[in-house]
Amino acid sequence: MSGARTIDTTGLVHEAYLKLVDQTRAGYRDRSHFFAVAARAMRQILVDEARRRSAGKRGGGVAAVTLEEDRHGGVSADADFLLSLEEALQSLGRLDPRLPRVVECRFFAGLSEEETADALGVSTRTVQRDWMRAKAWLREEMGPPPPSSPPPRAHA
Amino acid sequence: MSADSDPRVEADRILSGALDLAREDRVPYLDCVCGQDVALRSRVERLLEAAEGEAGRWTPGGALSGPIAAAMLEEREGESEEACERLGAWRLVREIGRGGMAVVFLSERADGQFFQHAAVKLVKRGVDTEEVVARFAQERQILASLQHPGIARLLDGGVSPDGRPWLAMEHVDGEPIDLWADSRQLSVRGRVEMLVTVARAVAAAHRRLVVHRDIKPSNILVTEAGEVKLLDFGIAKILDTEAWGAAPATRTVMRLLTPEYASPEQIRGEPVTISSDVYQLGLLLYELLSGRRARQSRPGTVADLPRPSLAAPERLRRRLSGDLDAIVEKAIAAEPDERYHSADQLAEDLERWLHHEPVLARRSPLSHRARQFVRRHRLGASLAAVAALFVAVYAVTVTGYAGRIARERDRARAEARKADEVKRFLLSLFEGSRPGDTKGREVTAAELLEKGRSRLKALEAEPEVYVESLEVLGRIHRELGRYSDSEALLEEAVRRLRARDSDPPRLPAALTALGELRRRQMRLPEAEALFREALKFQLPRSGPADEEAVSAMGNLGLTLNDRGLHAEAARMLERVLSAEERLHGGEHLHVAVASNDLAFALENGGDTAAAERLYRRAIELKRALIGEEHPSFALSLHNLARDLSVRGKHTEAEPLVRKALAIKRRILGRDHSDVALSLIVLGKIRLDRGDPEEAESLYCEAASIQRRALGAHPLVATALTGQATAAAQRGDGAAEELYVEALGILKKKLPGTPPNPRLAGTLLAYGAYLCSRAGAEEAVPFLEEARRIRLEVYGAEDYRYAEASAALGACLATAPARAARAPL
Repeated sequence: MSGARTIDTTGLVHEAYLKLVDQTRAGYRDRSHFFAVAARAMRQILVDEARRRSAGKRGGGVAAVTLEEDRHGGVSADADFLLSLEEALQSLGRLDPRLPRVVECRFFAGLSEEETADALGVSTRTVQRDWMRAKAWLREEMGPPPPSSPPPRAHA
Repeated sequence: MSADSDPRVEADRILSGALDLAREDRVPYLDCVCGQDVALRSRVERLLEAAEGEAGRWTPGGALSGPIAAAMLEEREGESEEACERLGAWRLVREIGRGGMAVVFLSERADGQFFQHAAVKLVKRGVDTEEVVARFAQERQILASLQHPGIARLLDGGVSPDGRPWLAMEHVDGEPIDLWADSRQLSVRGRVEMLVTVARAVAAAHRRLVVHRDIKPSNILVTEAGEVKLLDFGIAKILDTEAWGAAPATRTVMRLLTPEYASPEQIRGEPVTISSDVYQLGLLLYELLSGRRARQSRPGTVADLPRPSLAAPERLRRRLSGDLDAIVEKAIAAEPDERYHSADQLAEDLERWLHHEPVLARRSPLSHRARQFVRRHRLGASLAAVAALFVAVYAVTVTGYAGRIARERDRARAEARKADEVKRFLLSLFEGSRPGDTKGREVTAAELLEKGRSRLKALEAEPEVYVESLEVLGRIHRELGRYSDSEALLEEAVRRLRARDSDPPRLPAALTALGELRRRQMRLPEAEALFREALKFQLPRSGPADEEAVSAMGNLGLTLNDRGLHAEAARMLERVLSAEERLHGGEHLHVAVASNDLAFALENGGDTAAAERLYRRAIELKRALIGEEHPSFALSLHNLARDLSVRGKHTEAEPLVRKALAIKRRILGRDHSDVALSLIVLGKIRLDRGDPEEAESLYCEAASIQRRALGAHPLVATALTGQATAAAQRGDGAAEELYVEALGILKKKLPGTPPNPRLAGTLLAYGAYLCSRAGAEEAVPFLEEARRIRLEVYGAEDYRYAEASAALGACLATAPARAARAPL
């Protein structure tokens, strides 16, 4: 195996799940539902993290942005993005509560269309359509989508 | 804000509807649903654009690719990845690689039995679910049995103390195949030979039902001695989602691993087969030959990633010339069916190339050349369709000549010369269509045909050639649905032929061509007269067992059928079918066409089951003889779908008509009136299946196509009737107007005795609508007229007469006081 290291999203989604729910998975109907829950957890974890870092940046005190973090480039831009996304998702939920669910599964947990369909108990076609609708409305709320990876910052 | 007052709701509803339609269908849909509301329309258009637009970060798992997620992972990684010193009999020497799923260590045997190196692959934390562990045990058996000199062997495997599976693979001390080839400046032949070795190794694994799934240069090492070894066979499967049931994120990780080598079906998340390996071998071949990546990485993009762009730099163009180009293209075809069926087949084709033999990828040189031509000249799809029609129509002309040459030997030379002239004329139209001559823009079909007409004038000095060219060009216009242009050309051809003293041999063919046009224009009595006239000239000359006579009889039969004389039509078409069988035997396109036509008359006459059998026969024959990408194949498919839907078999019918529609659109273009016919059938199916929204939009598009193509034509009325019925079901008041317009067209365009059954269909729908809206009194006259027409056309035993009677009865029942007035 070679090539660049990739982000271990599996671990992250699992971790999200473990942080939020009991390890026995009691009360969860099946795997599919489990992933819907994990996807929502992923959204909360990332948004919480964004909030924490955003507060730090503003001198809120929890964790000041260090030079180390800055090297990742765009941590604060990413935090701003996630926070405005969160706001837009709240608004989207008032239009159709299913749309934020789809965004959680696709965007936050990286589920495929089929997996999202399973997790939410709808057809794949519905997932495809909802994902497009969500993107359309998010764009209306938030402006054009951010580039796939933030431009690296020059080292000061 | 409640959902009802949310101004986004209306736009969102239309957006959803539009997203369900193919991109090209959206404009007519928006025309239909937004009406005059400009603000609404522009908002929906903006939303649609955003829905389809540049993905940016809106990719699956996009949230996990940002700096925040990366920072979280970094913190986490530090805690969890502790070094392991020993796994089973293996001592880990050092880390030599790390991927999304596993860490790889160079290892040596630690049990002192004998000295051996291995690459030990240890699954990372988070990936080690129960299922993956179970799958490891299962796959190990299969992989251990995979012994081939070109495949790195699986030596050992187990589970680490903390529960993570590991595998020990034969350690290959080598260089990735692409770097090896480059550093030794290997020739094209050398590279092709190396790929043959790789393909043979992959084929050996396929015979043991192991698919690699992740063939790429870094997984193929070449040793100092030039030995080629494939690594990681079957590993991808163990780590892939199937191994993990509904587990999702692994697949994302897999996609992140090597998206630039994934086959289209892998990217779509469809089942992976040996064909995916063939695809990846094709990419590998491309890269080895061109020295560049076939595709840029676009992580996580599920959307269209059909094929690498083969636009290539100079270096590649030289090397990939000709057959190798074709081999790569065949291996990486977007559709698995179009690729080599096996890695062995690919290896064999490469060997043919090495031996300077003709390659399989080039077996259909004509179509290959045609594709090349179209690609090179960037012709529009419509122009490609015109070119295909030229070839088809011209072939018919030549066949006609060939037959006559046999019969009339003394005229052979003159006819051959004329055929040559006509051919030269047709080909001359394509001259000057090269991009250089048109300053790079596409040449449209319209321009080409325009040129045809203006050049035709130059031929007037040669009356024979001129008249034939008129006829050929007229038929091409007709096939393209350009009826008024076709009409002018064919009428002139007929007029000139009739003006001659003796019976010109070409007259029946020209009459038939014009008759066919009239039939499509639904000018049925004229069509009938023309066909009868053609037969009058043809029969004494050739007798009834002649091809042209049979074809004129077939056309006459269809015309009678269109007039509602189904029984008479069926009798005539039955004679045509058996004549075609006698003339050509069972396996001939004419037999397929005659089967289809007879089925049509039977279907219209009410014998839908017999029609189904004949349609299926026509479809099978056409598929075998002309393939699926052909309007004639699409026609039979469309007919079968309608036949099935009339009998309520909607689930079976819908995919058939959708397929027919797709074929027609590809070949005939989106605005062809035949496309509208399929839209109407599909609209009826959607309506019957309870989807008036989609039905209305389909009918609406059909009506606008027909209107553009045909003017006020009975088919426009059929589309309008459907649209009205769909609108009525949605409770839309526009229905009334649409019905009235449809009736107006029908009464004007389809006069005559017996009354045309199309009229009855619209009367019935309108009557039912009126009955529910305005009451029985207004509705009854329409329903009674529909019932009378159907009695006359179909007879009292037919289900369509029963349907009309039932509608009338149901309506009268809503007005009990008057029920006695019209006893059933």
